[in-house]
Amino acid sequence: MAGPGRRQGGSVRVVEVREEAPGVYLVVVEEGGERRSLRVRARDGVLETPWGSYHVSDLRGRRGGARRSRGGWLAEFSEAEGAVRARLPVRVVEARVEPGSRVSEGDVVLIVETMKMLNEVRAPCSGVVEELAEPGGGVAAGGLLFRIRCG
Amino acid sequence: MRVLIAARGEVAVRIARSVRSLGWEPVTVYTRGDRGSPHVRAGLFSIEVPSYTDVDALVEAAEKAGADIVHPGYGFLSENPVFAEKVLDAGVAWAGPSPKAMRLLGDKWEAKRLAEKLGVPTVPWCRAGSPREAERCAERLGAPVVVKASRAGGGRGMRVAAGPEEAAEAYRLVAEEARRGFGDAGAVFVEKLVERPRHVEVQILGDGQGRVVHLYERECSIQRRRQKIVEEAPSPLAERLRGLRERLLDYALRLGESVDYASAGTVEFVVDERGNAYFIEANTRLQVEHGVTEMVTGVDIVEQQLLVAAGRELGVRQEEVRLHGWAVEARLYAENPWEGFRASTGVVAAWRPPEGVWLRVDHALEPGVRVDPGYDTLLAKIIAYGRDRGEAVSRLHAALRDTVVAGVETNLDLLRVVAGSDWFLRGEFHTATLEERLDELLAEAERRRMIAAEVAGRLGNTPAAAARGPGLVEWHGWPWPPSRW
Repeated sequence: MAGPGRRQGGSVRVVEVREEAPGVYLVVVEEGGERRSLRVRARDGVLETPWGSYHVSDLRGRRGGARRSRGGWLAEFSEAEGAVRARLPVRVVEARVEPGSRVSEGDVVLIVETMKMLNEVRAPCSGVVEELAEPGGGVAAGGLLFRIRCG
Repeated sequence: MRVLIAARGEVAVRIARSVRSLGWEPVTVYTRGDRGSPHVRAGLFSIEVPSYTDVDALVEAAEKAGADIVHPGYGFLSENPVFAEKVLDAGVAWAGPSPKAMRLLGDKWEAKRLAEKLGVPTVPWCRAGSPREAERCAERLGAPVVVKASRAGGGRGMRVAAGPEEAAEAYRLVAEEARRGFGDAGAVFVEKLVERPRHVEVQILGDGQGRVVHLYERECSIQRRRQKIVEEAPSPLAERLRGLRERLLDYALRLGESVDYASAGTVEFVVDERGNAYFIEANTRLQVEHGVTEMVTGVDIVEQQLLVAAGRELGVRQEEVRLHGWAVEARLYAENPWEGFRASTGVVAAWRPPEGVWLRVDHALEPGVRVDPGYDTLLAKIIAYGRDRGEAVSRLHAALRDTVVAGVETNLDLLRVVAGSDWFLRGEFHTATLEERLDELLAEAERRRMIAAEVAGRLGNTPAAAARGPGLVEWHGWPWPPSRW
């Protein structure tokens, strides 16, 4: 699953906010160098926009968007660490490679079970797999699935 | 009459509503963690059970409640013939088909053979007992193929394979999944993949004495890995392709009549671009998306299930069933589309359902409700009605814009973008469309959310008029809400 990979934080800027009526605002936003104005209403913690209403508590900490990261939904790959970690609790069913073996990007390294479905965890890069979670065991969210030395 | 509802959440609330409208008494069940859930209060009283899948505890609850009928809802034990048998053995009626019909239609393998016997077309298939056989099947049928366990469901126990070698690999995974999920692997079969298919299903109702009627079809092609997300009745495809509807209705009735079907059931088909329809499976229970059929036919399907279970006559004659207008449903799930649709957890902090004359919202939500990852992630079903499809879709889109849920990650942003898409409005989609367009749809949803977040952040620093004390409101910024920007 490739991420959209665009629209990083900072591409939208609020240029002007003017209260037109109680709780009704005219907002000018700049996006990719283009300015557009829109009218929003804020009431009881809800922000109503032309494309839908949002609860303000739900928008907090969301500025900058892009919540999808590398490694897919099941696993997370940290390049600095060379570690692939589980995003949610999984059970390791089978290891397809031995520690020390060389894999190509996209090769299946582990088969894990989550939400009663079996899923393949693939190598995020070509390299050497160094350490693997034990088949039969569980891995908590954030736990190590395997380590890989890229290159 | 007293009805024990062996379900939770929105469907338990919805069933209780029909029970009460018949002048009967609903009784619900709950688990410890669900004590505060709205469905507990939907009944006359509610009985604690260790789990919604504990057959003996539920039968005991039915006896304790003095129930005349058990309605299983959907999910949990609704398609479990052993549960139905135990309910019947306890002298309580079952708001569903006979255990025999459940067994016959519930097993995909058996159902397929029955369909073939009745002259209902099915997808070309081949049975496999080993990876090697799966490979040979794929060679014979021609790739791509789907490898399925006979008891697969909800996206589990099914894999698509692009070639014979992959079919062997898929066999291993599917057999393993089936063993883990359902106890034993059962039969595994390889089926030819129908490409760019649309999912069309027929709602049937039977009285168990040979009379079976249909309530027309629904289309559920907007799905992700077989999880339905948007459904509608009637089907845009059946409306467009001459003769398709008649064929589907005829196939469904043939299957229903052959087993003296009782209660509500659904016969599912995949239909390719040219209108070739293939039977895939029958669901021997109330479907999640039954609401859209109720909207366009005016028949309360749950009420009919209850009447049949009570030994009354089916209150619907085929000649009285007509299609009126169009209904579209969007399923609000507690899933995060940006994280591969993983189930989200949390406590609902705010819930503002959409309101309007042409809307129906089936839900069991309120602030304070805990969303538990151990259960189905469906939070609410938002159904819009219109005289034609365009009207229904634009009402659904407006309703989704009005909806607010906080505290739990949902797919609401995605639903809004889908409901506003050109291809959706034109009815041009198939069962993989959502998956194919997902990145583009999510990017748009994220872009909108980001602008909203920027605006909200900025407003946080602006003193609101309300904070300056009450004043005379002269202008509210009408018209509201603005439809475009």
